[in-house]
Amino acid sequence: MANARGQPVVVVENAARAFGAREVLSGITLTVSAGELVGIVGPNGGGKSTLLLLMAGLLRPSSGRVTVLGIDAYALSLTAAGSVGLVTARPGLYPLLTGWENLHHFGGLFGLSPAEVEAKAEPLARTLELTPSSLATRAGQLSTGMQQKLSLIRALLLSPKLLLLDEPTANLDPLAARALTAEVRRRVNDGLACALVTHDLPGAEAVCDRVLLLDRSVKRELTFSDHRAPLSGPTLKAWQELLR
Amino acid sequence: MKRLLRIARTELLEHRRQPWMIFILAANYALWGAVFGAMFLLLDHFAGRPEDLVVLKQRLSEVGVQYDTALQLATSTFGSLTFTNLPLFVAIMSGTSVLHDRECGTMPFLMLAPVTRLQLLAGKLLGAMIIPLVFHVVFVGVTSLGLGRLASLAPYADKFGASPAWWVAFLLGAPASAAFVGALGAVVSALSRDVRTSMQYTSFLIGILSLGFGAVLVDGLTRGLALQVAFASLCLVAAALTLAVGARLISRDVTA
Repeated sequence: MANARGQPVVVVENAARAFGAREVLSGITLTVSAGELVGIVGPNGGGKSTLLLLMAGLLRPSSGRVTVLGIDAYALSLTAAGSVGLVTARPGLYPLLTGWENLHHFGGLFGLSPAEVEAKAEPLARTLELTPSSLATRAGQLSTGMQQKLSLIRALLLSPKLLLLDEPTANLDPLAARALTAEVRRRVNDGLACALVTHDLPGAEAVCDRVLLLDRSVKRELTFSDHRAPLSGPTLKAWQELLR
Repeated sequence: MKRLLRIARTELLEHRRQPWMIFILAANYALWGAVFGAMFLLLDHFAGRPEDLVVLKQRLSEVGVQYDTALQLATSTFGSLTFTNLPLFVAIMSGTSVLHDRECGTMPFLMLAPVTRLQLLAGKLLGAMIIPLVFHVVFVGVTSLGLGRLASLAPYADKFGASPAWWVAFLLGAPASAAFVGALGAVVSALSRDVRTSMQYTSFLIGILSLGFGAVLVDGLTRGLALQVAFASLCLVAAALTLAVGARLISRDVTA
């Protein structure tokens, strides 16, 4: 079921997160709505992945609040499981299991039968050019790019309301990266809310509706009225300066 | 329950595809079976020739060893070692189970799924128990019942399948003690940050508990059925409590 466009899906309210004495994020306020793709760009250690984990409900904020569809994100897995799809920088697959076995395992945990998993995964695999032989190969023997595609298929198996992507194209060849971002964009246009963490500013410009520059807190936000229009001139220079 | 079984199935599949652990487990049983089997068969050979047996007893006595005491000790050691293998290997396998998910990066995806931490730990434990349990039933069953047919071991038949207490220890006590040690291993693996830490704690637990349980199971045979049933029940309760407490201790934070 598609979300109503413009409806807030994830709301981060003045959230902070510290690991021991080290504060990684502070004062983050952010809303990602249905039909919106928000890029999160920033330097290494700027808290991008931590923010994504907070939105996934896999980390509890030290202060502030994170809700997904109005539910505390930290309680999400047991109250609204399947609402969030996640692709992490590491593909997160069992290396000794084949692609299909990995998908059956994770799909099964959400109550999907093997037939349902296959019905949902096959079209995605075709779109992402993941061949049947790749799906029958042990994940540990696949290239990182193929593992990443498999991870995206897993994230989309349950048709989530919110898709969180952490460097999903980092290990992909340019054609595969384009196929992946095109698929994500298509789903966002259908009402999916998506947050994309990336180091690739031009890539983010090309696909995102908004881009946040994050360095422990949101330093700047740029909205694209037309996401196909790339940054140029002084704005681009300012971004490059901030990312340096 | 379905999710618990799904986790156990995947855990089992991964163990099956790491044949070295299965090989080591089989080699371990084969070693004890071969060493003690050869020794008991040799003694049985002497028992069939009274004049040779007298000579053997004399020779042993000359070096300060009483034949009957040695035979009693050997039967206890055989039972203890073979019964120890089950908790030992379950603890080794479960001791890296949840940690394996952290290392593979699969933990965040398990945490996103509607799986409670208790289901996760119990599934990991169940998945770690199945292969060692099959080996236990086959190897200990075959060797113990086979050796129990030897005439020379007749005085110690209660350690080779001739008493109800042995069957309770074999089918309930050993698996229950493995469940307890394995539950501790699964919790340790969930709380550990790296393999070294997990293995250090697990080895300590294995060393103390597995050997102790092996001795209790075998030496307790002479004390009857009630003790074996009580021991198995206590181990099952301890396993359940360990999983329940462990599930509360483990943080949902994937990086915590």
